[in-house]
Amino acid sequence: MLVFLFFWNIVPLLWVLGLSFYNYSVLRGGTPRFLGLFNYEMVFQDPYMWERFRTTFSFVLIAVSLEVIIGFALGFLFNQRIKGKSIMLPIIFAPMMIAPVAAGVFFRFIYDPNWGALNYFINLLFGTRIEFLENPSLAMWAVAMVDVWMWSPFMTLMCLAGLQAVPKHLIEATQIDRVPWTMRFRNVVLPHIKPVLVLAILLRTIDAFKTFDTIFVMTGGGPGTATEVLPMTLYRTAFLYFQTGTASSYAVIVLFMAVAFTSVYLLASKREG
Amino acid sequence: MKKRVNPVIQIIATLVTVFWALPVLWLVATSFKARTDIFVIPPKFIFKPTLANFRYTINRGLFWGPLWNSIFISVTSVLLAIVLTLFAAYAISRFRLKGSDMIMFMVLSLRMMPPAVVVIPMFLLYRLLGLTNTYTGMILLYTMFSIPFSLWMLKGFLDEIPQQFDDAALADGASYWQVLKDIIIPQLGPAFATVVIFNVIFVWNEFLFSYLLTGVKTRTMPVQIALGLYTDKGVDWEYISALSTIYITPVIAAVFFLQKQLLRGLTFGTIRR
Repeated sequence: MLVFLFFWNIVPLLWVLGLSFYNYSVLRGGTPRFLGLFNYEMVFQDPYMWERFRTTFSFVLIAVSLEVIIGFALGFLFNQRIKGKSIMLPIIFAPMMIAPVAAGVFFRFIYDPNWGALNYFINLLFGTRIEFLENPSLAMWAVAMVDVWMWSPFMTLMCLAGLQAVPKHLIEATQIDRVPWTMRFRNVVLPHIKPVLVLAILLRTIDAFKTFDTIFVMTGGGPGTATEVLPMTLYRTAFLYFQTGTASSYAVIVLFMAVAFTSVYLLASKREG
Repeated sequence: MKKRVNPVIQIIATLVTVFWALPVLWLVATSFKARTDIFVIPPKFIFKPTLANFRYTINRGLFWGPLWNSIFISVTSVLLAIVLTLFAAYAISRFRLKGSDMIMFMVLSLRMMPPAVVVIPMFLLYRLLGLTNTYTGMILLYTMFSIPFSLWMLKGFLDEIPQQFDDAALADGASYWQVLKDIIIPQLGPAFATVVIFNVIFVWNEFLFSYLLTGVKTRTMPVQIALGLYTDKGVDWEYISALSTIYITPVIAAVFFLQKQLLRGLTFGTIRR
């Protein structure tokens, strides 16, 4: 099994590292020409490069922060006594398991400017239509919303798990002493859910950073490059422009960022666990 | 002390649940609408259901193929991954192997790695080995993807089975294989269930690699959805809504009937059980 893992993981990683130093194109074939760090120079001097980093980070930031807020709000909501919770929770959790491709398709359908359901209501209320996916300043939000729909429930799940770890007698004691809820939250609840919260946020950040499928189906990175997050850039460079070498140096940069995030995650999980 | 249900909270929770289910409900509803009911303003909420879209979808071509490929590839690769990881997990859990922490760490970091990083070398490797558009290639690929989760999950469960069982059996002259077959495997039922369900859904949903590495023969459902989206008349919503409905139905069913296994898989790595 280790041999298997080695061949299917380590070899591709080394390969991509190697390719990033070469001038190579899948289309042209032929012998790759060694370029040294030229590809990296190209990538870092490309003014659009920074724009793509910004796009990626704003996507991750928008998605993850909304997920934290909405997810935790739902977590506290569903921690209350509610009838039919055993039916409601699976409905809320379902989007996590749905294929991102399918989710992207649903939202395209809802966003459609001509006869999408959302635009019908907007038209009813404000008398205009909004082209969510065609408008560069809105497309990012529209795409991030899909991630929010899919993954806020994850935060809810983690929040519920964290809240269960809060000892009941502490909550009851604060209720008897009539401690205001803000204080109860800060001093009793928060310390108990914080470890789970930290891990959940880090995990979501790592995953949001990888988002590809939904964006691919909804906008393909467009309009223009408005929603071109790094995995999308990589895909476009490698498989639409056939600049395999350049795409490989993108891959290496993305890899380093992922390794950085993962190390933070592992450190945190060691400390909290 | 039994508290009453707060009606305000009950109503909010119900509304949130309905709101969360809307994207899926809307798509499923669309798939049962006649063409004239899909493209109308205002959107129809009450309509006469019809199976016309499903008939059309099945007859448009490339329906049974992708469906069968998705089922076949996901089930086979996950079973293969389980067989491979069972032995590894047993070895790591029971014997003090040198570097087993290192292996577990490496395997976990693979889960964190953005797939886009390895997509270029994988593509080249598959072309070189002639594995593109083959079942072998796809199954090996997804087996690799399923290994990290399976290994962590199975090792976690194995650690909880007391070693005294093994020792007693070994003292009575059983071989390691007999221990594994008669003592360990019968106790791993819940672990297998979690690993199988979670990984099958993961493979079922995977898009990027399938998109790049399959051809018409081995194409899976998500790829068919993404590629079938556009026709020369624009987006073929009758087709896409019916195809997506068929595609997500097993997943939604799994969420409802196998909730416990799925939640255990989702919170894997963050909450200890």
